[in-house]
Amino acid sequence: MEKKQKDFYYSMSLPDLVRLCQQDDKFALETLIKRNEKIVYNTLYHLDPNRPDLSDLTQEVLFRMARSIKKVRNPDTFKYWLNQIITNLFYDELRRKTRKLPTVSIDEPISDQDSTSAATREIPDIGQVPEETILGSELDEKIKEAIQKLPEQFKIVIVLRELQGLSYDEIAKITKTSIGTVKSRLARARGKLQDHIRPYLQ
Amino acid sequence: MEDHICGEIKPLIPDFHDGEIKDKELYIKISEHLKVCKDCRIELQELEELSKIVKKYFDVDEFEKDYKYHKDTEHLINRLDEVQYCNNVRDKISAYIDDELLEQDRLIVEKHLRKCIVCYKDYENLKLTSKIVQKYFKNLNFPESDVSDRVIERLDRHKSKKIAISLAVAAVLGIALFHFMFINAFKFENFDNKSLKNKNTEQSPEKKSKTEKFLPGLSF
Repeated sequence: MEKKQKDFYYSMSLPDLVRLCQQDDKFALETLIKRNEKIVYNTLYHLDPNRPDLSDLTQEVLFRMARSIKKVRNPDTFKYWLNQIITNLFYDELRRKTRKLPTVSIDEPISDQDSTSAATREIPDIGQVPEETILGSELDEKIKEAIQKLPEQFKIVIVLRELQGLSYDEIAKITKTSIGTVKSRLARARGKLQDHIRPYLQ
Repeated sequence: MEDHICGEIKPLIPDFHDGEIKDKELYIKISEHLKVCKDCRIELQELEELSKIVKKYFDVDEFEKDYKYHKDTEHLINRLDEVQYCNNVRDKISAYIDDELLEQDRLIVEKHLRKCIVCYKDYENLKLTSKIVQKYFKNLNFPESDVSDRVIERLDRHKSKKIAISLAVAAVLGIALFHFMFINAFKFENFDNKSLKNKNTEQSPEKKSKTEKFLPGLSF
């Protein structure tokens, strides 16, 4: 893609870009993928920073997004639609793998008297953590720490609101709860974050 | 030691003030403690002051005589209302920041924030927290650089695969259609032959010879 062309696609609004993608514009689709890779990765990262397969999940989300872009009925709700893909995939994976860390063998296979197949002694490989984002300030570190400490249901509302900028109605639909629940969870999550960074607010 | 006794005595001060301590030994114990403990004495005095204000508020004559007390009490009651409101409003501040409140609730929160400095401070801090969190998310780096390329490659492969599958399906359908047509044509031909044969047997010798003349291959 030439620079001028690239700039043209990058300056376009998200709904317009989606409309072009739906008309089989290959460059528009490439731009849409590139424009969303960071936000998708960071959403998944903040939902569970300990997952070793974050980049694979990001790839899967972007692939599903590109493959079914024509199914978006209203391009103005693209962000909501994309986050449905993210959360569906994330929770499917969570259910499937139940957050099991990859394992490495520390011993030769040991024989099992009752079985002809060999069993292996394995321990979780905590050395295989995903690449950490380098954060500049101490405050950013504090926020990251505070978000990670939040319970699952608070974490998701903070990510969907503050990172993705979704409305309460959209968050309620994605998390399959009521708007009232979203309101109270968000208020409590913000309260917890505020407590964590209180010294910096003065 | 004194602190330990304070912890035990303080909850009993309102009952002591109202003359509701019936146990003599306990009454003496509290009285003795009040002589030596300044904190508990102050608490009892404050309770007496508050009691006086409330009594005056309900006493109509006194209330009319002393307007100042009336003002103080009114202020106290307003403050109590505000405190009750604080809890109600604090739950709504987060949604107020996001402009996600119903018009009626938004007006209640705005009105309260103008009056209550504590809640206003809370509102400012929560708004600042939200902005800091948003900024944190905005400034995050993305460590993976080839994810997009991998997705685009995968899409190309997916597209080629889709085309190949479509071609294969078309080919299978074509073969099936050809097969179907061929079989049907064959059956049709057989059917025609049989019906013609039946007809021929019923035909008069003259007609039969005519048929043989025009369709020699159909006679068996």
